[in-house]
Amino acid sequence: MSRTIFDDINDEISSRNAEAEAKRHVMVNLRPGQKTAAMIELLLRMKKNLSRSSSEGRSGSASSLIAGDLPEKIATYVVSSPKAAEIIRRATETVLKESDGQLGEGSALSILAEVGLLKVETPADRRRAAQMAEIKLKLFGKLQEGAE
Amino acid sequence: MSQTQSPSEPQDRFVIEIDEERLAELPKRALPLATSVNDKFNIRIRKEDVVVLDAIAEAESTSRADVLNRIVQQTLLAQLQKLEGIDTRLAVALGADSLAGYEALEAPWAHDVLSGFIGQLIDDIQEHGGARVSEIQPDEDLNKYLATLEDPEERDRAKGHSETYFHYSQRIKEALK
Repeated sequence: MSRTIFDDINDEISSRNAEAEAKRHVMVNLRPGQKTAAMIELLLRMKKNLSRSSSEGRSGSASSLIAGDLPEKIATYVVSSPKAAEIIRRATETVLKESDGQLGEGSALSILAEVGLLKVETPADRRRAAQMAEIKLKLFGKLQEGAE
Repeated sequence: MSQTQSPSEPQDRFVIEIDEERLAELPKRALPLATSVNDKFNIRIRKEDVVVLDAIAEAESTSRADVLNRIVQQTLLAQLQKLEGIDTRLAVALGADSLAGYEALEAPWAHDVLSGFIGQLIDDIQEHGGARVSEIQPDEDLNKYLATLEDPEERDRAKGHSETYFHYSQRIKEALK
């Protein structure tokens, strides 16, 4: 089947999403102790052998082993700290200042928000809430007038 | 006894004697096998999550690297604990332990995997003055049957290991070659 213009546009969207996603990440150097290094080494070797025996090309980086689980584990680690509230407040303030007032989807803070441990109200949220209240008032007022 | 003299004038010279024969007889700990294990990795992390790591480090008076190391170790242990069967989990743990040269106080992965059993062992010793595990009698019929099997894999199957265990054992063997 030949490619359509929609396929090309969809590819362009995917590529832009991937670029935006890449910009939201940084590479952090990890120098673990021998225990952690040994487990990573074993899993990477097992993964490398698997990719040799299958036709799929799998990447053999430490990120590919751990990165997917990290936000959840960071959230769990924060919650278990005696200073959890202080950490969450400090991190949320920094993130909101640096971003456009939104918590990134799938991040440790957004997980805390999803489970109700953190609530963020931005000026945009407040403006929206005020607009909604105004619309409701107008609508309710008209309904009341109609009933009278 | 080996003797070493410092290369100074006789009046300042000191002499060191070491009983190398007796030293060689004393039990030795394993040397770290740092050469075989890569200990530098790059991890791709969301910028927002790095902010959280820094906030933890600041609140707990430690470094980002220390916090990240602990979280990575917990992440790996959680993944290990999700594997089917204690025998499979232990096989992977022992595989990683065989690559590591541990510092005296660092618990091997095998201890982490068996922490539930070790807790039970501690409770047994405190409550009953001994470990019930050690009182289990060996199954003589099973042992006699196992002795008739030549193939190690067949022996393991007769002991009740799962298919998952065999699959992982094979992968671990290949990885450790």
